[in-house]
Formats: sequence, C-alpha cells, structure tokens
Amino acid sequence: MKILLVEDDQKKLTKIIDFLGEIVPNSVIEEARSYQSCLSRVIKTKYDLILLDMTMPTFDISPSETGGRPRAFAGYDILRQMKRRDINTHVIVVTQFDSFGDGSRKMSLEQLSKKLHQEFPMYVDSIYYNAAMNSWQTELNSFIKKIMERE
Amino acid sequence: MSNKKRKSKPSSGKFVALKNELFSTSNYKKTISKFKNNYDLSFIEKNFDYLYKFKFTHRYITDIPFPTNYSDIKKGILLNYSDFETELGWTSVVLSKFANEITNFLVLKNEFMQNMFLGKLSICEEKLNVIEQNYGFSLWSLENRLILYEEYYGLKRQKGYSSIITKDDTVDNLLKFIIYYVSIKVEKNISAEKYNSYINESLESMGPGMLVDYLRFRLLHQDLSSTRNLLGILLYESDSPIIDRYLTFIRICQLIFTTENEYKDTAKKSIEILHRAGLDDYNLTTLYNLSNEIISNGSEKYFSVGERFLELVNFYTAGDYKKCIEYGQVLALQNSNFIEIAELLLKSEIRNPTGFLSNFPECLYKNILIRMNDILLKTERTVSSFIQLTKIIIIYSSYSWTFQLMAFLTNEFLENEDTHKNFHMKFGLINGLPYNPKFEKLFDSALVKKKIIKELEALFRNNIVLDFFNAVIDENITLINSDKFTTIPQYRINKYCGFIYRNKGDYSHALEYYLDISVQNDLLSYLGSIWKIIECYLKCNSFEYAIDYIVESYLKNQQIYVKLPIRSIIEKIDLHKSSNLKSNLSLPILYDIYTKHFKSASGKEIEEYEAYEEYLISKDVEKPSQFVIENLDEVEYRKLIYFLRFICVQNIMDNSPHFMSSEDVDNERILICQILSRSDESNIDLYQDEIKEITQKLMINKGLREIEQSKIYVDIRGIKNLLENSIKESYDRFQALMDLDNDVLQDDFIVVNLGEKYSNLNIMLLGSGEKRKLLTSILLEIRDKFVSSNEYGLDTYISTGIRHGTLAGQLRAILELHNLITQKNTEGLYKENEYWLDKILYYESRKKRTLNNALSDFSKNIDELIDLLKSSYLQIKTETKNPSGLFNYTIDEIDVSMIQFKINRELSFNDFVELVIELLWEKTERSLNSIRKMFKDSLFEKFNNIFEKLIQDVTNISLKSELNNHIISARTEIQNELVKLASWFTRAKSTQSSDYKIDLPINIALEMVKNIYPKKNIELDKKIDASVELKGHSLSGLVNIYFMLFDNVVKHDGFTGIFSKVLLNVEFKGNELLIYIENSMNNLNDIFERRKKLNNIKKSLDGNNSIEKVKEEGGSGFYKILRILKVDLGVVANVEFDYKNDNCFFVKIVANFEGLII
Repeated sequence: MKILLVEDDQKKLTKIIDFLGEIVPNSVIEEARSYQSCLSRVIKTKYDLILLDMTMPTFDISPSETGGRPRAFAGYDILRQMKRRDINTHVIVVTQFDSFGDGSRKMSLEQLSKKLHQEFPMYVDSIYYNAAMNSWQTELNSFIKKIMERE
Repeated sequence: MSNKKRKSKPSSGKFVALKNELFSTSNYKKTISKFKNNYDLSFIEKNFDYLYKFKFTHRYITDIPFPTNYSDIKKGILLNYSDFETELGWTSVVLSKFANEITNFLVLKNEFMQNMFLGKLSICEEKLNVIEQNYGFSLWSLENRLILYEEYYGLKRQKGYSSIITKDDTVDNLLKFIIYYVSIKVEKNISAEKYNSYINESLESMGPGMLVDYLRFRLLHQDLSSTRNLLGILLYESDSPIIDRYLTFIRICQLIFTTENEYKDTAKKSIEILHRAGLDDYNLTTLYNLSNEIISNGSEKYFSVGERFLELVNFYTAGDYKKCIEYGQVLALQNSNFIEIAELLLKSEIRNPTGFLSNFPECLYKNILIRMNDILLKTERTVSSFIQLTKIIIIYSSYSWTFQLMAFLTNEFLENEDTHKNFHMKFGLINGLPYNPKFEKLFDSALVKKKIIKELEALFRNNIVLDFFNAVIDENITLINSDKFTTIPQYRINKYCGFIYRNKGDYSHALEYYLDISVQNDLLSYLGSIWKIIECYLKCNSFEYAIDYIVESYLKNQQIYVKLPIRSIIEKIDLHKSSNLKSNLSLPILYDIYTKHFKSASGKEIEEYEAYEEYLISKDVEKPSQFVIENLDEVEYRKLIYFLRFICVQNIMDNSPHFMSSEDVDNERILICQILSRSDESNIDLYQDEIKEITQKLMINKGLREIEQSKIYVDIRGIKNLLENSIKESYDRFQALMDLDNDVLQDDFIVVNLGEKYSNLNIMLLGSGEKRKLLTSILLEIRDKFVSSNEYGLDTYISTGIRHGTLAGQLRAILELHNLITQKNTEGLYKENEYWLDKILYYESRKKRTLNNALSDFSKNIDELIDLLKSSYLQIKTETKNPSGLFNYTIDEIDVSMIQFKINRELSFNDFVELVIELLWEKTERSLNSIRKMFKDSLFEKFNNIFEKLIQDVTNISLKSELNNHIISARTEIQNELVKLASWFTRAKSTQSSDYKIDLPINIALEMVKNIYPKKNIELDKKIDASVELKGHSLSGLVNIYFMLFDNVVKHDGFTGIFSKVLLNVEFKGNELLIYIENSMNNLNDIFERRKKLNNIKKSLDGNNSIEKVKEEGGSGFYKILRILKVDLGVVANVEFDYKNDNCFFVKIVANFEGLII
C-alpha cells in the first residue's frame, strides 16, 4: 500500500508513521508537510491512501521558507484540487482540531466532515487525533481495513 | 383572523357582576385583567370610560399617562395578559382616550425633528422642554434629550444626563437598562455595526423570552423585519407613558400590514378606534387607508403636503428637473421628514445640476442629502455614506423617516427583490406620505391598485403621473408609447415598458427596453437597469452574457457592485460550468469582485483560484507572466489588465502547483508588475511601487537569512593577532623542548586506544611531563581566546546574536500571538491572562481561577525552560565552567596528543595555530550538531511536555475547544520555530553579502523586532539618505546595532500600547556616518535613578573594561554596540546617549566609515 501522509506537526507525524508501521507493515509511506508539497506529490504520484491534515501552511516550512500563508482549510483545498483533476485516491482526514476557521467560516469537525462527504466521493472520513488517547488508532485501523477489503 | 375562541358579548347581568366585583375586591389587577381579557373589543370600547373614571384603576391601566418625572416611568402594574389581539385592541381603546394629547404631541415632535434636521438645536431644546412640560417624560423624550445633548453640547453632557438616570435609585431598572444602551446608541463615535454587536451580545446573554423581544424591538428598531413576538412588545410597553405606547402601537400595526400576518382584522379595528377618536397622524392615516384599501383625504395639513408632493412628481416624471428642484427645495425644507421628497430632489439635481446643495446650511438634513447623493451616483464614497446613513438611522430610529431612509438604502444596495428587500420597501412606503402614487405597490391585486390610483385622481385632478401609473397597471404598452406621454423622457418610458414585460415573463422584450436605456445617457436609469438586464439575461438562459455584463459594468464603475446580483449568480455557476465559461476571463473577475466586496464570500478564494487556473489552461500557459498582451479589443484589454492586476496576486497564485516557494510567487508577481507597467501606463507608479515593495521584502528576507546564518562566528584574523603576542613565545619554547630527550623531561608514556572513530588506533601518549604541560597550556590559551575573547571570540557573537533577547523573543512571540503567555509584574508574579479570562462568564470564578493558574504555570514553565536554554545549554563548556553547556570546548588528553603528534620542528607558528583552530572548529561542529539535535529532540520534548500539561490543566474549562485549538497551533508553530532556531547553529558561511543601500539593515532590524514583539509596532519617523551604498561585510554588524537600538526602545520606553514612536536620522557627512535615534519615554517617575544608572554605563563604556561587559546578558546592549563598531566594523566611533527633557531618550552614534562606503 502506498500512503501519502500529509502533516506539518512532526510529533503527530512520527506517531502516525509508527502506528502505520504496525498495522500496514509493508506499506510505503511518503510525507508532505504543506498544501503545496502535498499537491505536487498527489499530481505526480498515484497513492492508495492519503492521510490528510486539515490545517497547514502553504509551503513546507524551513529555515529559508516561512511557509507562506497559513490555511485553516488546506485539506479542503487539496480535496478540491484532487476532484478537479479527477484524482480519486481515498482520503482520511486526521486532525487535532475540533473546530476550524473563524467568523462566518467557523465550523466544527462534524460539520466539516459532513461537507466533505457531500462534496468529495474519495473522502472516507475524519479522525480526531488526540495523542493522549488511542481512539484515533482504532478508527484509523478500522478505516484502512475497510479500504483494503474494498480494493 | 386568528384561531382563538371568539369572545361573546357579555350580558348586562355579567357586566353588573363585574362592577360589583370591582367594588368588593381588593385584587383590582385580577378584575381589570378579566375586563380586558374576557370581553370583546366593542364592549370594552363602550364601557372603558366607566372603568377609567375611578382613579384607583389608573395604576393598572395607564399608571401616570404623562409622568412629570422620569422616575415615574414604568412604575405601573402589568395586567395579566391574554393573547396579542386582545392586547392590541385594549391598547387602542386606552390610547383613544388621549387622542387630543397624542395629536398635539405629534405636532411638537414633528417640529422638534424638523429643527433637528436644520440644525436649529436651541429651538429643539425649547420644543423638548415644552413636550416634557405638557406631555410628560417618556422613553421617547429621554432618548431625544440624549440625542440633542450629544449633538448640541457633546458627549460629556449626554453621558452626564444618562448617568443621572442610571444612577438614580428611584428609577426602574428596565428603564435604566434602556437608557444605558440608548446613551451608547446616540454616541457619535460608535458605528451602527458596533452598537448592534454590543446590544446583541447583551441580549443574547439574557437568553430567550418576551422581555428580550421587547428590548430587541426598543433598542434595535432597524431590525424590525425579524420581529417575532408582538405580544411581548405590547405587554412590556403597557406600563410605559402614553406617548411611548402610541408610537409602539403604530409600529406594530405597520409591521402587521407589511408582513403576511393573521392579525390584520384586529389591527384594522384598533386603527379605526383611534381614527374615530380623531387622532391626527399621517402614519395613522396611512394605516387607515391601507387597512380599508382606500385613499381618504385625511387632515388638511397632510393633504396639502400630498398635493404639493404630487405636483413635484409631475415635474419629475415629465423630465422638468429644473422646476422640480425649484419647487422641491422649499417643500423639502418644510418637510424634511419625507425622504421621498429628498430623493426626487436629488435625482433631479443629478440630471440637471444646479448646485442647490452647496447653498444649503450645514445641518443633519444636508448631510443626509449628500450621503444619499453619493449612493445614488455610486461614487467612491458610496460605502462610507452607507455606513454614515446607517448610523443616522440607528440614532433617530424612533422616527418614521428612518424607515424610508432604510428603504432607500435597501433599494440602492440590495440586488434581488427578495423578502428582506420587499419588507423594507413596503415598510418605507407605509412610513411615508399617505398620498404617494407608489402607495399602490402596497397592494397585490391589480383591481385594488387601480382603485387606489382612481381615488388619488379624484382627490388630485389633472395629474400626468396618475394617468401614467394607470397605463402601467393596465400594462398598456401602446398607450405608454403614445403621444399622450411624449413629455415623459424615453428612459422612463423604457423603464416601465421593461417592467411590464418583466411582469409578464417576456424577458427578451424586457431586455430590449432595458438595454436601450444604457444608450440614452442617463446615469440613474442606467444604474437602475443593470440588475434588471442581468436578470433578463439569466431568464433567457444567456448565462455567459449575464456574467460578461456584470463584469463590464463593474469595470466601468466599481462602486456599482452594490447593485449587481453577484452572490446569486455565483451560486448558479456550478450548474453552468461549460467549457466556454472556463475560458471566459469574466469568470475569475466575477469571483474577485465577490471575494473583495462580500463578507459571505469568505472561503470562495479557492474558487477564484480555480477560475484563474482554468483561464490559464485555456490559454495554454502555466504562469500569468507568460501572457502576451496584443491584438485585444478595448473590453478584453481592460479585463486582462484587471485580471493581471487584481487576480494574479500572491494569495491566488500560491494555490498553483507551478510555484514551489513563497519567493517563487513573489518573483512571478514582480514579472506581472513589469508587464503591467508596460501595458497599463496610466498606473505605472502603482506597479513600480509594488515591484519596489516586493523586491525590498525579498532583500529583507535574504538579509534576515544571512544574519541568522552568521550567528556562529569567530573572527579568526582577530584571534590570530591576539595570539601572535601571547602564545608565540610559548610555542617557540615548546619547539625548543622538542629537541630534548623525553627522559630529561621525565615524561610518562601511556598507550591509548583512539576508539572506533579512528579505527581503534593505539597511540602512545605523553604523561604529565613539562613539555606536555606546556603544550596543554598553549592549547587552552588558544581555546580561551577562540571562545571567550571579548572582541573576537565565539561567546561574544553568541551573546549578541542569540542570547541577547532574540532567541527568547522568537519563542515567546508565538505564544504571545496565541495569547498563551503573559509577562511578570513588578512583584515577579505572572500577570493575569485577560484575553482568555475575559471569555469566561464573570460568575464562573472557580473556572477563572483554574484557568489563570494553568496559564500562569504555563508562562512560568516556558520562561524557565527558555532561561535554562540560555543560561545553561547555550553556554561554553570548559573543564571548569558550565558543565551543562553544549558548546563543548573541553580539551582532553586525546586532543593534546593528537596535536602533539602533528607538531614537528618544521611546523611554523602560523601553521600550528591553524592546526589548533582546525581542532576548535571540529569541536564547534560537533557542538553545533548536538545543539541542533537538542533543539529538534529533547528541547522539543520539553516544550511538548509543558504544552501537554497545559492541555490537561484546562480540560474542564468551557473554552476548551477554542483554547485547545490555540494550544495545538502554538505547539506546531513552536516545533517549526525550533527547527528554524536550530538552523541558526550553523557555522557562518564565508560567502560575502552583497553590497547594500543603508536602509536595508534598518528594515531587517525592524523585521527582527517585529518577529520578537508581534504585538508591538515601531512607528518610525525616519530621515535616511538612502542613496548611500555600503560594503556587504558590514551588513550583519549594522543590523545588530539597529536591532539593539530598536529592542531598547520597545523594552524600555514604558509605553504599554501597540506603538512605540521612534525618530531616526541616518546621514553621511563625508565618510562620517551619523545615526541619531530618539524616542519618547513614558512614566519617568524614577528619572533620578535612571540617570544614575546611565552614568554608570557611560563611565564603564569609557573605561578599559567595557569590552568585558559584552558577554553579560540583559542590560541595554551599549557595550555590544560599541564592540561591533570598533571590532566587527573596525571603525573609530563615538556613542552618546542620554535622557532629553525628562521624557525622551536619544542615542547618537558617530562613526568614520571610510573604507566601508562604496
């Protein structure tokens, strides 16, 4: 299984990689840390699964790159670009936030997930990631199993 | 009619029983409530006088109808309530008993407002006094006194008056609440939006209920369309003075007739009761006419105004604008409260300018006219005029004309004929003159419309307008185009023909008429026809034409966006995404107009990008700079320029996979600006400025990176010079000792394994003999110079570039931006985190305490960790100092032996020094490696643990979601910052910086300060001779000097606000650079102490040991500045600083820059 893990939080990224190593030991995992690095990988490479963070910078942050503007809905923007380009890879959103955006755009994870289900057929579901609990692992395991059974 | 049970007329026996009950009971409230609630309206009307003649009943029915003191307001007893219809009928019966007083009050009220319009405020005050003397205090009178005081005497007097009421213990609390918010409402400096948010916040915190509905009605009048609970309003108004009860009664009846409402029959009966009582009010007349579907002649006064108004409409319709203005001016100045007169006057003036407005005296009315004019013409002041008028509407919301003004705004700003717009248009008409031909619009049936016009004709004969309206209602296109109406301008004929065809659903014919308007050179008709044209295009399925028309209209005048149906067309786009549309340049422009002007467009930027990308794909280019602008017609050219100028900007382009970094995107924008400079020469200055701005930003970023990468530095040349004097002799001695046998020197030999790194090589090492001691001491001395030389050593650079506030600042800045960290107060305790504590309700004190403790702990833990990092980890470790320091420069036996092995008799002193420095660089690299690793691993873990603790500590706080999101975002940002900070720990590259203009280091330093103090802003008043260029290698030094100067200002100026004001002069006189910086100081109570401290610094700067102070942490950084000037830049310099006038501080640097100037 070829997986793209899109995540700008190193701690969370490591935890997820470790867990993927346990549940899909032979998988190939590539990493992206921003909207742009995810988009360019998704356009060039075919993945079996994308684990997508929702809130990210535009570009990969490095000592010479501030990351551009932060995007509260980077994951949503990526899903839109995928849909426009007919990229149908399964996407699971894994996020540490339970609400997104502000002002009139503010929405809960539940509302966001509903919107994503409505707009994107390749969207599988959202997982709330909390490092102190292991419910995210159970959920992720279950979603990945379902995807593998379907394939 | 509602479904409630119809009340039957009581028999006379029952009434006798009620009378008896009245005299036998002490519970009057129950008995009078029974009378109000159990009998039908005609019975109540007939018998009310009997009941009211007993004074003891007054307290329950009217209390004091016209209170002589404001403290008597709202002191009555609320009767038991029944249903809305009963309450409305009851109110009308009660009010009918005061018809004369109300009529007379309305005359005075009108005079008061008319004088307010014209700015005759002393007359207003007289009128208000008369009103209060004759008709008592009321909510209306108190509100208008506050308005008058604010206008006439200013805020202080207004607030003084309101606080007398709100602090008076004898005043009813509800009245205090109302007055408190009215006083805010009438303030000149509060916007309508802000006031609305205050009041909404306050009412929402009270939860739902009838009282809240009443307060919403009272305090948010302009939001009447959402009024739900009419019963609550009547109920809570029932203990108000008669004046307020009447005004509210009228407003409620207006609401009933504006909306689809089940209470129209009861309202009609109630209005008739007041009409019969002879109450003379044009609002009541309108309601009477509306409920009876007639035009009655009403009172003489308003009939006469109506007659003159119709005359005005005649002139206007016939296109005789000059006459309309002559006639209308007089009418308007006498009847400013009829906005329809003002509108006709302004529309005539636009079509036939006479300049009449400039002759008007400065007053509220003139202000309204000017604002309306801006809006009609869609000038650049359209939006600000809208905001101004909305504020006026809120202030004067107890007046009917504000609803007309609201209707005007709605008509001018709302694109669609939706329910909201229909409500305001109708509500405006109901509040207008009873004799407006447009009155027919309040009815749906064509028959009733015709009846209304006919009745108007009967009252006002020979009126072309009414004839014309008749033809329009008959949809008689032939008649409208006939000779009968030749005096009417063609654009008006077209407008109504278009209207008729639209109503019939014949959109293609309607479109012809509307399109014809745009060639007739009448701006108002053109503006009025735009959205109708678009609607016709849409109805005719010409979607692309509609979009093109919107965009082309917008490009002609951007202010007309308020009239364009942008939102609704955007919603339809998905359904029409044909390939033609994808290649249509209008589409991205449409999205841009939407995102630029509409709050609801938030989040649509991605769709704007998609339209941008589709267009690029259709033109077979990846980046906008690849466009060639040639062979375009005027319309396409304007669209393309707009596209490049406003859409091909960083925030859109950064969505494209063709750009890999922020810098890429910025460079593309520069290329676009270059194209625009060539193709849109009229705006060349704007494009050149933008190029300059982006270039400067890129240079600052580059400079910042260079500075960050140059923090680990040792001035080897300087070190070598120092060594020449102190070590050379020792080295020569060591060379001499080399000639002697080891036995002579009694050295011990030991075998040492060098370990895996050196392939387990065994070497013989010297023991503790004299020769070895000498070499060790030489190595230690070189090491000490390398790391600790005050002028050239590593620790000096670490202290200046890293430990001097920058590192702590960079980390703290993130937490400050998320409001997670506070500063310590003078007692060393962390200040309360007001940002988050204010979000918890005031009565949840336990939660506040828990949160405050959690955040204080967090601040403390973070500061301790940063302190540990600075004072322990980022220190130079030697055999005797700083055992936890990660800059590990301990020299061990292996090091000594390695060097000793490499020394032979041919090795010169210089080569020997190189050898040792190479060893020290190796140690530096190893140290930097472990520091970088420490930043990314253990330090991050430590930060993470502090964050985890905070998350745990705030688990049970109600703000959890919002706070949690901030904590998590801050944690990720700290992680990235640690990676960035880790990159500072890299040996400075020897590559030369490019030469630069002298403002560059200032801008870089400002950027550094901004990164460290995100909530502070240095407002720089600068005079800089920017033409001078300096050599690249001096950049880092100057950046550090400016940084320390700005850092000093922010840290020590004593201002707690956002801005620190700084005056900066930088000039060259020959080779001499003069930097003069001055800033204001706040709170200099301790000036004596400060001067003393400053004098000490001055003395020690003059002394020999000033350089020693360089590595000391904290303080003002003057030692560091002096060292940079003298050592890094190698210039002769003088630094002066002092307090000036006891409220100012200055620093003056004079330095000879010979050799550094290009």
